[in-house]
Amino acid sequence: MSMKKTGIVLSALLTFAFAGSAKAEVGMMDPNISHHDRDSIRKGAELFAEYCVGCHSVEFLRYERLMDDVGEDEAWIEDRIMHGDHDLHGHIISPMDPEDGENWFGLAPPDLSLTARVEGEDWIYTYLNTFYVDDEAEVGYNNWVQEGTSMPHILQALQGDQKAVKDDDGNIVDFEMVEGAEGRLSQEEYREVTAQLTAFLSYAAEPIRADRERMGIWVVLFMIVFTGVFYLLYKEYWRDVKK
Amino acid sequence: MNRLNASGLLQWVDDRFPLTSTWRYHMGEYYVAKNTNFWYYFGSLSILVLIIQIVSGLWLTMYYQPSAERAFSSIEFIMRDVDWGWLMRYLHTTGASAFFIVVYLHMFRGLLYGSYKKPRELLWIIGVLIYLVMMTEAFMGYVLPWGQMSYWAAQVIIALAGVVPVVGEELVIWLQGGFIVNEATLGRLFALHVVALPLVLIALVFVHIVALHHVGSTNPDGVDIKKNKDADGKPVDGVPFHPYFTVKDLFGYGVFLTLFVAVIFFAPEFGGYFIERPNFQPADPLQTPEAIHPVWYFTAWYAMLQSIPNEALGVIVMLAGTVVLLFLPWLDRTEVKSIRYRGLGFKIGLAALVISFLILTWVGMQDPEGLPIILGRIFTAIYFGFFVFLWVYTYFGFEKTKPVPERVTS
Repeated sequence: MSMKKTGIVLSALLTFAFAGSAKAEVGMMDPNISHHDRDSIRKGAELFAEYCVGCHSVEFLRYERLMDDVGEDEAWIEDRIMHGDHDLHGHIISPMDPEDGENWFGLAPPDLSLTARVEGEDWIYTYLNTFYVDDEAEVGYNNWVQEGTSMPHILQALQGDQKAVKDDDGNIVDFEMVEGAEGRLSQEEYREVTAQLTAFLSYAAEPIRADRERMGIWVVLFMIVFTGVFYLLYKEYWRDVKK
Repeated sequence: MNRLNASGLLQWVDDRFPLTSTWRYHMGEYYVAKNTNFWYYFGSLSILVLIIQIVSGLWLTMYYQPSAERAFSSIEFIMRDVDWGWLMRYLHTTGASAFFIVVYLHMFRGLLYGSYKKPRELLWIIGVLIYLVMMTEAFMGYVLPWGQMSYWAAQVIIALAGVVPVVGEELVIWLQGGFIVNEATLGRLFALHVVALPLVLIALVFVHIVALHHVGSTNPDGVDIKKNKDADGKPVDGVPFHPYFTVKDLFGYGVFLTLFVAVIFFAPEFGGYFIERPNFQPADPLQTPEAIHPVWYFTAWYAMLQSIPNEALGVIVMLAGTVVLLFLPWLDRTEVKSIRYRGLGFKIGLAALVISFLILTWVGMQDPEGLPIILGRIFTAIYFGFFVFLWVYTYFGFEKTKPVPERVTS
């Protein structure tokens, strides 16, 4: 995580160095989430089931795995996540036919299993936060992260409409809410919701991650102790070797 | 076998197989200078990494499916549904990078202490061949997950065969088993990666060790320890490999494995250097990625390729970068082995070689335009310049060496 952050900071610095003042005000946003926070992942999964799964699959994640990893039971997964007749052991597949998706949006909605590993958490979070009203866009909205995105602003009811504030060169420097078009949530609440969605997608990209780090501490400690023993053995054997 | 005890059994085996004598020759009575330092850990470490790769690779092969449709999802199956599959996979991906790290450091040791010089020329050449096979093996393994970068790296690398005069185009189609990289390509790379090349690699490593134990290990002073023997005929400056170096290398294994598991459990992607982000996207033959870079351990050679405007010439230069190493024992004419007693010119030259390799490694990760291209050209020239300089410097006697001591120093 820290390495990734360093990478992002470095690339951000490079971007600034080469692009001058472009995108100076708007930047990649840090969702500030932890993959050890099961609560966020669970809420993110519930949000995903409510708003996203209509179009997007998470084809590599099984319902059962999700249920176990967030510490819930079958009632929860059936009630809040499955919405209909699904095999508990099956994968999270969207009911939408990809061909329909292509016909409706010009591009089949991508599977989101590994998006967090391809694009990063910041990318997902920023993407969800930078939809803005654009009359020229086919779906009525554009996106700062992915210009010309074919995805409609599905969370518009929550966030409301925001418009882009541009400088003289036409670069987006900020966003502001369109008056009278506020969503159900405050800006703060919306950010929390999108951070939870990001946490879920990040979890979905590598479900083992939290466990891996938890056991990693013991593995590394074990190796350190073991190496200490090896060192003593080495010193003991070499004591009689004259320099 | 008249007595049913351990020594009787050993005698029985020894009468039929050279067990005790082999053990003595390679371990119990193989003498190594007692003053070997940090740089001497990396030979035995590369054996450890080779074993890690073989064992983890074996487990991956049990679940991996070499078909265009299933390859990518079978990797995710290993990562999610196979018990400890994720561990096997991260062992293998981290092991690939670790292999190059320890081998690069091992090769650097060879340069520092003249391990390629008489009588170790053949030992060095076998080592360079191991490196060449390792690169091929790594490239093929990289293609198997069938991610975007896998696919396009295969496309770019195999297309290099197109520079062969006359038959180039045919050759590329023949290698790919089609007009583009396809399932047939995946199948053959899989077969080569899991059967053919590991066999070659193990055979070469075996021969490498046989050659090493025939001529003996070097030391940081470049002194031949066999010249000073005691009354029993044992080198006074040496200690038997077992138990002295088995316990010393065991400690080295401990340090290495501590770092290794830290990467596996906390940063298996290593910031996108060990596993690259675009490779979490399934291969798409219709969509070329924005930028195609090889993994970090190839980028120095890739930088050479990209720095040369003519493609055919670029391929030749890239290959020459490794092939020139085969001639090193005859390019360097100075008999003094260790950098400790060599002239200033050699020290500066070696530093320039290492710096150019590091800078080229960085250059190969950048988009081929502007500054990286210029740096790529400069440091490609310096890289090859080292070998030219070394020959001139040592052939015409410009080097002023220091006297080599009779015995090893601490």
